[in-house]
Amino acid sequence: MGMRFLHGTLVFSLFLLLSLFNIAGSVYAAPWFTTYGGGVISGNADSDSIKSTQPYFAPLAVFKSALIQPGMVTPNPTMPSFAYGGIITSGSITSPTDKDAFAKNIGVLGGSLPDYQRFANKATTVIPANCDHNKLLTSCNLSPGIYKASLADINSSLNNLNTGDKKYHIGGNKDGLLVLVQDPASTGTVAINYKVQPVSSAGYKRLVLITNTKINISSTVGNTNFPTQAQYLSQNADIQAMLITTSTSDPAVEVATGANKLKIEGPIISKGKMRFRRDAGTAWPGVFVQYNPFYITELAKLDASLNIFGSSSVRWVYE
Amino acid sequence: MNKLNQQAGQTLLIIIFAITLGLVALVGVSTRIVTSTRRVFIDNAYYKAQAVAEAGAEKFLLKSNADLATLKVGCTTSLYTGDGFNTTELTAHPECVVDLGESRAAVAVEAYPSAGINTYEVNSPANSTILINLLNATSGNDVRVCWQGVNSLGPAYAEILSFYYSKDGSDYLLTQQKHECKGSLSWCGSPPAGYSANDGIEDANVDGDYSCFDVRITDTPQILNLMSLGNGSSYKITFTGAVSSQGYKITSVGEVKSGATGGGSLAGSTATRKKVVVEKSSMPNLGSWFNFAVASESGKIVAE
Repeated sequence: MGMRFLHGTLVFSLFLLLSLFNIAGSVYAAPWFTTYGGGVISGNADSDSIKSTQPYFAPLAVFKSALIQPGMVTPNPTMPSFAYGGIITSGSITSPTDKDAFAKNIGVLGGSLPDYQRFANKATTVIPANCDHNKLLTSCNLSPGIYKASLADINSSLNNLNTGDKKYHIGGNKDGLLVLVQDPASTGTVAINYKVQPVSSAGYKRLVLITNTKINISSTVGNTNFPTQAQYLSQNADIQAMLITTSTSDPAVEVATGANKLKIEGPIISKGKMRFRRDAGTAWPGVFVQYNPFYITELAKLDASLNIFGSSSVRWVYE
Repeated sequence: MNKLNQQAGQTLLIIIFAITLGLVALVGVSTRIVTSTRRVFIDNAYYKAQAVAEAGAEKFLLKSNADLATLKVGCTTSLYTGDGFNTTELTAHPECVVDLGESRAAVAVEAYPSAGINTYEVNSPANSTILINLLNATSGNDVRVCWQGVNSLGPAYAEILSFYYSKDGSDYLLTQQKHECKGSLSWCGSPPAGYSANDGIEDANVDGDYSCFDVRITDTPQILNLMSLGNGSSYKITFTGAVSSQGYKITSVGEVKSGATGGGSLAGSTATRKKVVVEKSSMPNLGSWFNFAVASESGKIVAE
């Protein structure tokens, strides 16, 4: 009888403990990340190739439809049940409907990442002689184009974004991209220690950084103040640049730990694993990637004249 | 005596007959040799004309789009006529001529689709994207995308993701939609193994054996990116109003020069003039990656 009572007590305790863990796991589901305006895609075929906890009951439920988890055994009941295959998409934040989350089961993607070496070979825009290579993003005021720079110059130029008006400068008064390709001869890590934002100027300008090394985003980049949801959605991203790395190191892209909320513009593209370690609590995503359609639009125009990507369809007709 | 004369006459007739027979045989053999030689000449001319035409097309395919845009000004279709080269134009535009010694090609560059044509046809393999240029397309109109899923065996089930990029004032916008094929089409049956279909919008229209949807051109149009899921797809993209240029049409006409060995005497005949046409898209295959906010080719994306 005593044994039976003890057994019953143990089972009850275990059940209570598991329940508490479950509750705790739900409440403290952070860190997590989400996207807006564009999905997340992974060529990895694993069911858990994309992991991000989803506090669907969070008071700031504005993000609740923005992430669908591919690896969930028991899908969140408020989520559409088509979250498999390594792709998740953001829906409309103001009016989430199933049709916004439109992609699934892509599996292994055709094609491959842009050819880094080809990018490097095409990076032939000449850096002006009077440009201090430590200030490629500031006082040099480089015109839109594709430039090759050493890793040391890229890192020092990124660090110089902590001086002066703390913004990057791109010349000209038209929309354009400044594409910085890391010189393949240099090795190391791209270190982003400060915000990467363009100065207000005529024309829509953005930076594209292409490297074959790891990209580190330090814990200091981000915000600790918590604005309203609407403010957070509309405010400028902390990193207003597109990052591409062909590194296969683990991780190839790392967002360091910390409590700062990091808002970054997408696409952010990596050959290897991305680890988002930022923890901004349950209500806010530690990393929020807001898709910016400008990059693909402008890259298409740039490539139409430069053939950086090197592939376009050709049809032969014999007459 | 009479008998002798009769025998001589018979011999003469036989000789004349033999000579005639020999001459006929000789003429026959000669004709055959001449015909054969001419055929060799024609074959040589054909291959030389074809070779130089292909060489001209390939040389221009290697040029950048910026160079093709420049060449389009001078390298027009007035370089040649149905009767041969326009030597005045050829002399004025040597940049449009590819010379291989005994043969040469005149290469013309035009916008593609050609004037008066409002449909652009293109194919893409499974899980790949194609870019359609929409610059200068008429805002407020529709661009109709008709498509048919294809695999190595023929028409097959597929789905389409469409990404429409536009600019509104200073803002760049993306409108995305997943499309399912019109269910009544014979190829729109079962998805391939391992592919779960749905969650898209079924197309409302068909064009023959193609499933069709419309993309409304809003704001200032930029590009349309189409991604074929499950299988590859063949597309027919039809503009209403202005037709956006998708690239260049390169026409290379090869001809053996007059007096050249092996066919030169045939200069001017159709045997010595060959045409090769190449349609080259000026839009890059940027890959699927750029349509998504976060993308990893082989690794995982983890919040931890």
